[in-house]
Amino acid sequence: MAAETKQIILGSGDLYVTEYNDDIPEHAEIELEANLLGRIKGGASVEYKPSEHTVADDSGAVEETFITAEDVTFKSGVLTWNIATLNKLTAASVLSEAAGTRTLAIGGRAGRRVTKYLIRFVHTKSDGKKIRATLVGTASSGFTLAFAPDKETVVDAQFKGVSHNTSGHKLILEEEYIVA
Amino acid sequence: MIEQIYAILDGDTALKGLVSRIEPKGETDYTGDCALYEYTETGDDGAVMTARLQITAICDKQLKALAVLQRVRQLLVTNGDEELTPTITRVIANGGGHLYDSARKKHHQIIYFNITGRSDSNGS
Repeated sequence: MAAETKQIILGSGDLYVTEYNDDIPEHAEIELEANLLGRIKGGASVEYKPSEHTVADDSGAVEETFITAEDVTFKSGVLTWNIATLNKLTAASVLSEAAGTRTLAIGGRAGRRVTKYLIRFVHTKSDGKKIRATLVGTASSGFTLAFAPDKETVVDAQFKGVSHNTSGHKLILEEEYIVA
Repeated sequence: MIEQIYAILDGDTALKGLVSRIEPKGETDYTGDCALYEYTETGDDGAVMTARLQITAICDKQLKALAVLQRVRQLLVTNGDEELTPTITRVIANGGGHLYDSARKKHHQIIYFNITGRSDSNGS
């Protein structure tokens, strides 16, 4: 078995979210402390789910399968957050800050324009090399805020990937490895 | 994993300001304030390794022993998915206790940690 296929991945990573401005910047521009959505808890998952349509003749001699749609969903939970964090978890909202108070207005006219975000999840392997998952998405699943006396509030973060270039790419996975 | 944990504890000036020694549990004639550790690996499935760490703060005053363990928790317990080291992915405090050594007039304040990390048994 090749050395790079013997590796076992364990551990979570860092989640960066920033507003998407029609291009994907260099890693160093995305992976900034200021772009951390917050410290996450419970790990993260990226789901890629193609929808297929198969056409076959009655005898089964001719069969062709087409991909009709592809869905990408990113899910995680945010442990350290504030109101500005929640702004990135809404499809559309208005955030304002003044005199030590943050205000997030959700719904109404603000809800007509859906903001696209650049979502970057970075897992650091035990050898220090990184696995990156990048998508452009919208926070179209909303969130639930649960305040409990015996459990910390972890905000669900869910983004639905949208195509962001002329090729229609919805998810970019990148892995660094040690060159022998 | 214990080497990394010891390095974190031994390298912290705040903790070393509270206790002069951080040593593995065992027989000793040292009577000053100190912290003893006992480390046991409890599981390894080839991917995930688990361990149990006991830290005992031995001090003249119980409040000082509690302060030692508070500092140890601050150093070791992981916040959310943040990793302690590239090998140790999760540390939680789980259990503890107290006893008083009337012969030496010392408080023994104990805390247990459950440690999860990457297995070192697969050779990668």
